Amino acid sequence: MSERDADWQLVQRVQRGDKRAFGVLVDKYQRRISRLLSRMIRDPADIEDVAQEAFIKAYRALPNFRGESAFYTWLYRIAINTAKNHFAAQGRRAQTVPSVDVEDPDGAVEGPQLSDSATPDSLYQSKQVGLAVNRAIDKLPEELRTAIVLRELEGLSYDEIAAAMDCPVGTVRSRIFRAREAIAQELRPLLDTRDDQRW
Amino acid sequence: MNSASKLRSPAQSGDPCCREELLSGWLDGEAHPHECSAMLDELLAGEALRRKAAEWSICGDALRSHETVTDPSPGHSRRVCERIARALEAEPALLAPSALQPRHMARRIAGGLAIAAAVAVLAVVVVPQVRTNAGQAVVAASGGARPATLVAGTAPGAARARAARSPDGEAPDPSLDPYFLAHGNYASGVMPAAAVYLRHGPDDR
Repeated sequence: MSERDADWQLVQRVQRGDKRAFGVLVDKYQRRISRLLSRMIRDPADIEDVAQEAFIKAYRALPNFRGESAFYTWLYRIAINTAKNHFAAQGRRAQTVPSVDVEDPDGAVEGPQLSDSATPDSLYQSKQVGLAVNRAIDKLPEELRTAIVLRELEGLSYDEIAAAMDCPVGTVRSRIFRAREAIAQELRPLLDTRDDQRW
Repeated sequence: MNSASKLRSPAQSGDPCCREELLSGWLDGEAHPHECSAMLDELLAGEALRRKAAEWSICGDALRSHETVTDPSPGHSRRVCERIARALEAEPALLAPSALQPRHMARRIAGGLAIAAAVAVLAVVVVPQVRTNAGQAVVAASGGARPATLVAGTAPGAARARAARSPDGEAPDPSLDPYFLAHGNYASGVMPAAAVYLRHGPDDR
């Protein structure tokens, strides 16, 4: 089982008629999709429009999604196609398409630095987030730092981390949870997270 | 997922902190299968857990790339989520075929197997019989004014001819043999079962 399986469980709930599960997927992926779109579209209002359209298209197409690929890979392609349609409707081409790999969702997430369309605000915020993450990581005890890095950056399973750190799997889970909490606490002031969102 | 068996279940953990720890594991796909459904129910029902899940997803993204969690414009994420939530309210709830219960799927599979079995029976038993009967009817009809009793071969491949005799024991008319041969040659292409019938005179027996 993997993170992909957690998404698949949410997808299956949506397919059975539970819209709230789609809300969890939106919470999880809207930033990545918005970031992807910001590499193709300059106008922030257009980014919002296309992001909304991409998610609604995905929701409508979800009955046909059978989990053959990861949900994010599927969503990523829908977002790319929605952006292309957006440009086609406006009779123009994406300004920064070359910085987006249409076949590599992971590369798009971790890809090149901010595009030319980045505003001073977003540049400043990105710098602040980077500083906060580094601060949070520096503050973590070594065993927590190792566990979260092996999980989030190296993509190791809990079993693999337990083997690498020579500790029980339950300890790994606890360390990763505590590391996440510490990083979230550091980042919270910088993030526009919602307190009252209802799906 | 081997590790999951070592994790405690939500039922065993009334402590909110422990439930959050379980949620953290579930997000990583490291929860035990029997925990997943209960965890998902709690996640969808509880706003606090959902907020935690969203925050941790952002933390993961931030570790991998600072810019991923940066809004393209101030308030972008909040607005996008609100717009999608409003748009979703207007959308009907889904009911995908893939969401059918396993019991329903089993019924469908059983129905398909029953149909396949029926087709197989038709192909193996009924069709050869129909072919044989059709061959007999064609040859019988070709007897014209002097109907003959024709004895069919056991199978089209066993094209050993049997003699055909008239019911009253009268000797067959040899002048009709070319006709039956020609008919047999023609009909064997269209109706292979007809190829096994040949009319023979008494000397051939």
